[in-house]
Amino acid sequence: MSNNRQVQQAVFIIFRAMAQAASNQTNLYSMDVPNILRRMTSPSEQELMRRLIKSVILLTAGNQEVLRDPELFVDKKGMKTYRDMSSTHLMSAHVVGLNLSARPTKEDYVDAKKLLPIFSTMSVGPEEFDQFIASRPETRLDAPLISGQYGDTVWRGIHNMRLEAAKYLVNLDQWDITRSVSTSYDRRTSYNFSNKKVPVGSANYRGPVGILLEIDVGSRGLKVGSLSYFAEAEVILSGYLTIDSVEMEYVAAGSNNPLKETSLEKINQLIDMAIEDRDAGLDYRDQRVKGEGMRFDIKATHVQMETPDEV
Amino acid sequence: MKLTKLQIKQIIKEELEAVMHEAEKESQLEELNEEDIKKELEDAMSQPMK
Repeated sequence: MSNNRQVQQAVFIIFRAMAQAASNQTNLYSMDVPNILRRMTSPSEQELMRRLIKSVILLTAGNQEVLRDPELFVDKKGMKTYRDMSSTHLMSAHVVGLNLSARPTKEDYVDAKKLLPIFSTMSVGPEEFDQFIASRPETRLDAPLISGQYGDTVWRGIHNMRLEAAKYLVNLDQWDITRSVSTSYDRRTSYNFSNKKVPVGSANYRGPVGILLEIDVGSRGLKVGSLSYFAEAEVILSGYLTIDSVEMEYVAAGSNNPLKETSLEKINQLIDMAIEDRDAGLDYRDQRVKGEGMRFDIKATHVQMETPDEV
Repeated sequence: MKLTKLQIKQIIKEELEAVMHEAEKESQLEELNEEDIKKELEDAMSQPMK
């Protein structure tokens, strides 16, 4: 293990400790986020922590198009500063040298694009977490930070999908999410998001399908929790997802009650039928399978990806 | 069987409509290539769940 990888792992674990401290408004932990940042990070870790915090801010509240392709960055007056995009907790990042009054630069987006996939595929088990915390005696904890706060499952809702995209997804063996995605420990938030509707005819409308992903992550992923701008128990994840099972909910002709299907062969037939009826311009009442109201519950397992030694 | 001029016109019209419908479907399918779908999924996954 090179020094750099040790620094990466340390920053990853400290970030998790910050997320746990931020999520607990009761005095379960003896330190808050500013104190964790100030007292637990060594000078060599502070630089990487500063870069990671900037990256997380850009993922949660920055320009997503630019994050995917930093070449699209345009330096505009009136752009939000890091302070404008930070959660209250992350505003304490000034203690590791983050200039909150600065506006993101193209280089920041380039760095975020590089760092996020690395940190969001990393893992730490409960034992390693506790050992690391105990190895930092300068923190002088009154009560130890505990690692078992979160479960092993995260959720992700998506909506406004075309039937074709749903068909593509349910038939994938492995889904590449190496560019990092935002997931949540909160099933309800994710479920509600997957059920959101975009009005047909609106410029943003793509399709009627909603999907809820249930992902087994083990101890992997960058836990952001209440450090997130949107306070959504967020976990940033990158790597690959293997699709384990699919359950489709749909409404067939002559019934208002939703039916469920788990056979992939039948699911494919039903989606094809819905596509045919849609393309034939059939009225909702005449469609054999209604596109509207079609939703999927997909169970997947996260697969870690290789990361570079140097960042 | 001898067809009237009107019947021939009607047959041609129906044939043309069928061909147009097929062509329209094909062009829609061409538009839905794998890259488009991947991008759609990526866009959907990059939205904050708020």
